[in-house]
Amino acid sequence: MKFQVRTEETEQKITIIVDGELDLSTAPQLTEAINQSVERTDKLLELDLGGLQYIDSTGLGVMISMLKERDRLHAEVTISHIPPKIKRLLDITGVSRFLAVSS
Amino acid sequence: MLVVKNKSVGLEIPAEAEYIDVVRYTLYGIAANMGFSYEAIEDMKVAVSEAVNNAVLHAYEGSDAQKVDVRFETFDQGMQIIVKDYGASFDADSASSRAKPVLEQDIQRVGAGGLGIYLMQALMDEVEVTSEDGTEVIMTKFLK
Repeated sequence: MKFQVRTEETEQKITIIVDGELDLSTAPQLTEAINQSVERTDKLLELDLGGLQYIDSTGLGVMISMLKERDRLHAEVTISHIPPKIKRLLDITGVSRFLAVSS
Repeated sequence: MLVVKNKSVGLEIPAEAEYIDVVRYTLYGIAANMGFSYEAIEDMKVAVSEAVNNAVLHAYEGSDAQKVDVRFETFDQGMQIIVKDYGASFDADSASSRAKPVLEQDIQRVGAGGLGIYLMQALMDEVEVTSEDGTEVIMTKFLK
């Protein structure tokens, strides 16, 4: 399986966990998972990138949409366990400035 | 290390998102054999995918002629990757002028448009886009 996404929920937060390669063909799977939780303003929404091996501008676009929507709702959001090569792309594109990163 | 200099490897894929990873895997094989660093290979994987993404998304809107040609040309100092589609020509100058990183301070003003072309330019040493009978993107990465 090239890309997998699953969602876990605890009392405090909803965590979306991704694994594999996020590109034009797999981005819709992440969009769908995010859409199911993005309006849950009662809990922190966490996107866990620990298993992410690859991202392109399509995947960055999905992350930007998630951050925008949570900002619009004044709801907490965090992106965690960002692998160094993914972090580098977030830095190059300037997306990093919008991340409240937890390790 | 395998010597693959002054050789050309060609790949023709359907203009569909599901085949973009095949281009990345081919690139990985060639670039690793040439001795490119891990970081340089990761950069090239993203850049070549962005070029193929553009072909898949824009080149064949409303058309049935759907393929993308990718060629890897290796030479002493590095590698050239050529991505060619045969769809509607694309205004390369206007696309280049939209290529930019995210500069806004307010997330509500941020869009993802232009990030793909920006990444190609930022991650490769040279990028040239020409539009004649489709669009051709020629990207070069030098062995450091």
